[in-house]
Amino acid sequence: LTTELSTPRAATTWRGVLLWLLALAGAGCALGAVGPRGGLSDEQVRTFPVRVADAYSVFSRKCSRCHSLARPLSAQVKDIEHWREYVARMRRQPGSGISPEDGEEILVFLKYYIDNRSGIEDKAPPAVEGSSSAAVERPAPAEPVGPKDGR
Amino acid sequence: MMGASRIALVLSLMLPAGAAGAQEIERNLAGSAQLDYLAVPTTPNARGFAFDGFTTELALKLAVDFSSHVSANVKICYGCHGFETDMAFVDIRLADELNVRVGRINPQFGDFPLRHDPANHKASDKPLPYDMGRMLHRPEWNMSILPAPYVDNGAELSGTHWFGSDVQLDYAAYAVSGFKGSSGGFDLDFVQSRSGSLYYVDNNSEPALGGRLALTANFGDSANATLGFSAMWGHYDPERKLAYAIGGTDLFLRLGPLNVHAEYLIRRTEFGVGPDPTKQFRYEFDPKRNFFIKDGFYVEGEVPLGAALEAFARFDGMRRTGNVPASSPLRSTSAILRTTVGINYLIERGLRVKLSGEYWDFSDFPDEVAVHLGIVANF
Repeated sequence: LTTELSTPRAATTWRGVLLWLLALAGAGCALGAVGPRGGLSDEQVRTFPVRVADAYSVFSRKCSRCHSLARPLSAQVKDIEHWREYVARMRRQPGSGISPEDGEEILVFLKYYIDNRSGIEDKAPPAVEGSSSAAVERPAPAEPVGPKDGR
Repeated sequence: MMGASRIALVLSLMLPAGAAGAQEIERNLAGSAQLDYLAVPTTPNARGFAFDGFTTELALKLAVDFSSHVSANVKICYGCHGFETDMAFVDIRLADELNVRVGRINPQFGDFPLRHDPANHKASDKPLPYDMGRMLHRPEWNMSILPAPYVDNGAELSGTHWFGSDVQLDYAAYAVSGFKGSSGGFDLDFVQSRSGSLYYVDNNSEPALGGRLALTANFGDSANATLGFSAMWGHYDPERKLAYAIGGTDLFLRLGPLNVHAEYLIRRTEFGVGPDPTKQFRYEFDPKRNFFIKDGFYVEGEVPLGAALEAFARFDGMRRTGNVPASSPLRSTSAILRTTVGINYLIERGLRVKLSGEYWDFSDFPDEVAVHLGIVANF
């Protein structure tokens, strides 16, 4: 193996890989914050009301089962009723592990997220009492998201 | 009369959905794109047995919720074989326990197909039992056991039921056109099976049948597991003489930050013996052994290393047992074992770099080292 990898072609390949990685690492440092599994950063989540932070915990555990959290966080869904349909569809995916109760918790976070998305993404999230970013006005907490009538 | 009452029942279930759908239809467009470079440093020119160099995979999916009971999905993919329709189906959901899916579907089989989109799995390529064209010595092996995604025309009944809030049972049964192959063929023909040149229609007037059963259990907040079983059966030749049967079992474990996926697949494929079996095969022909077995497994673990870095390791393998065509370089028992380690680096939320190294251990060919470097975006 050592002999094979010391050929000029192999050495060139490894040098290329290393250069790519260094360039991309630099790009990553220059770009925005990201949390585990493509989710929100700890700094962003720390600014959430406790109820929403708990709901985010369910969201991050359940929704990273089959895909990166970037999927739902990047989705252009701006209406909670649309999210309700979407989460219900995901909940019915085989092996989703998302119970109806989990689905409601996920909607609590998504409601807050669509209401405060720009503030969260601008890394100037609304402050929570006792947090270090108290200079930013705190928005109204998300309304509890109950089941739709007739469902 | 009985039939009419059933139709009336279905229509009555659909009517509220139709009324809601008239008011607002929810649409969502999502997609992903992966550019990957595969280098095989141990062989100067690997093109003879692999698609090395750059490959691109692109997916665009439109999901439309007409109502809480009816939705449609259309997904277009671009890969090595050009544009393909990965999904084009309508879901009619009567209850969580009963969903009817009709159209061009991904029949439920195993765990990996649920996350076959390159943005949804950590490696640049797929586990060996599901590989679709990225494996080394692909032509000699005629790809994998069940290349993913498996797309076919048909209908699927499926459902999910929760026992309390910790145990979920999933089930599915389907009838689809099935894989295609030639009269008297040696194996499934994956090009025929997905190519539009032969029309996207059944080749033998008989559906293939299959199903899946899976149980998921949550163990507190930080652990859960899914155990599943899948099976599929059909004939692939126009005369309906050559059968194939695929079985599989899959296990998913989440333990805190660690995700572990493991699967085992096995396919039994009958082959044509031709007019003179003594000249057609590499080994002496046994009339009772007019089939070969292809089986394989993978175990993959992944864990985040901080916010922007994820690591994964995979060990997989595949074996073929049975007679081979006279011209085949494979033996009556041939095997591959592969070890993969890699990282994903998240440049930002929807953009990640995938780097992995693979060590290939072949029973019939020189061992190889392969390196993948890819970038994948989802939106």
